[in-house]
Amino acid sequence: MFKITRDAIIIWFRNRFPVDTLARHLKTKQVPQHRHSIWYYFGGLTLFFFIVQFVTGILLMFYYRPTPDHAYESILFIMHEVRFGWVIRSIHSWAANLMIATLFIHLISVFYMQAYRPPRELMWISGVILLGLVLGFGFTGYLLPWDEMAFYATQIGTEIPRSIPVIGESIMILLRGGREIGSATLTRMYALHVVVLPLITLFLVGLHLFLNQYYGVSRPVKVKKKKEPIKFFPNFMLRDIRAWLGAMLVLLSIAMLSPWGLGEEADLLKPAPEGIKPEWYFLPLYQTLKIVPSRIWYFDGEALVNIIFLLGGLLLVALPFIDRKSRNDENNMFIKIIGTIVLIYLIILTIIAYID
Amino acid sequence: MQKKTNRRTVLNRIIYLWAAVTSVPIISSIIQFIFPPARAFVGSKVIGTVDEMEPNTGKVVQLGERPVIVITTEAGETIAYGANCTHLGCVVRFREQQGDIYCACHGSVFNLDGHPVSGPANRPLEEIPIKIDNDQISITTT
Repeated sequence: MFKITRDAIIIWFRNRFPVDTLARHLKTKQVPQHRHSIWYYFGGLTLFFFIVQFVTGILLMFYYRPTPDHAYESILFIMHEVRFGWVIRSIHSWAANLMIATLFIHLISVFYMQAYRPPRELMWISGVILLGLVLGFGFTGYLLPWDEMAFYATQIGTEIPRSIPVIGESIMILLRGGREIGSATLTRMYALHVVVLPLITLFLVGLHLFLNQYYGVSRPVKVKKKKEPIKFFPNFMLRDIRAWLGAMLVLLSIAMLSPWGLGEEADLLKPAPEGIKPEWYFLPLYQTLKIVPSRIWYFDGEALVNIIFLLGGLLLVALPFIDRKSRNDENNMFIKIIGTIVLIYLIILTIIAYID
Repeated sequence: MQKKTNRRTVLNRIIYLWAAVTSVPIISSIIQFIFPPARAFVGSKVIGTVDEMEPNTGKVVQLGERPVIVITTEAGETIAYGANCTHLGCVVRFREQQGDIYCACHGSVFNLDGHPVSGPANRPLEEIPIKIDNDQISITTT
């Protein structure tokens, strides 16, 4: 008689899946240890929050209805009638913000450690695109509850590209599904939020993680090798799990102690209320648009701001090709000073917009 | 050394060309599909009678898909503008005390002629034609 044993199942899998090769790789991979090692955890934390978003997002899809007549009502239903609905929604909203925060920290740390230098250019490029996608998740997801704040934030957000010469109007119509914000905008944002962006993100996260495994963890330029590197498996992985558990504790505490709210239902005819602001990660752009005069010399102020931010994003993507010093493992202070000035500008504008 | 052109390279080139030619209408159709067809509302809407319009008041009404602000001035004249601020599109409101049109999003202020007087907006609000017929006031699309 044929008997299925535990060993037989393991052997069956080993013959069909390269478990041993993967395990060998994980055992040989090492993580450098130095005074900046703490920053290595932020990539993993971003991945953790992404997984949380994925799971809670699927759960919310069971009840959410993406039409102007039902969207707000379905969020109320999730929050007040579905068991644990308020917690799931609160976790989804808070994790989105924490994911963007950890992703920013991860990007800034990679920038200062010059970890984008060869051969990790593709990791940097995929990372910057992922930042853009995550901001896209934030923007598209913000409208879905169909409350007042969401409506106006989307109104402003979709109007911003309009000032870009030649293609601006088309981008606005493409985003809104028409000239005005309405049901077509909501279904578009929903399709982007739950299908288009997740598919592209999954592919890029896969590529980013594959390259991370292939090239290993980068050692910062000119950092002295005082300590021996540690093994990725199991040592670093266990430390990573410890960070994930800490992040889960923080997330659950915030989500339960400060549940994500819901404003009044969006009314297309209601004048904009005072104090309308986008989410914190769009505040620098919002505040810049607010303080820049409508005309600067011969140019439209709004268009100029948009073009500068767009160029800034493109320069960020092209950083590994701009910074020639880092290719020779040299510290590039000029790039770091420019980056610091930009960072200080973004932080100051965020603070001004927040207290304004 | 010059690369030799054989049957395989010719066939490869045909396949590449075929793929390129086929992908053009497919990609073009997808792009055209995601751009919504223009469905501009053409028509008019009755917003009330002359007697109903209180002086120095304003309200936002819907014309087609767009919001329109209708203001009756202190002198009793009724005027209407597209209610989306020309800066970033928020719906504006009439301020009775100041006698102007205000956008709370970024603080743009327009006078009753629809022209920007302060704030980041630099274009006037779109004027909406008003028609008074048998005491009934209606707004029409431009």
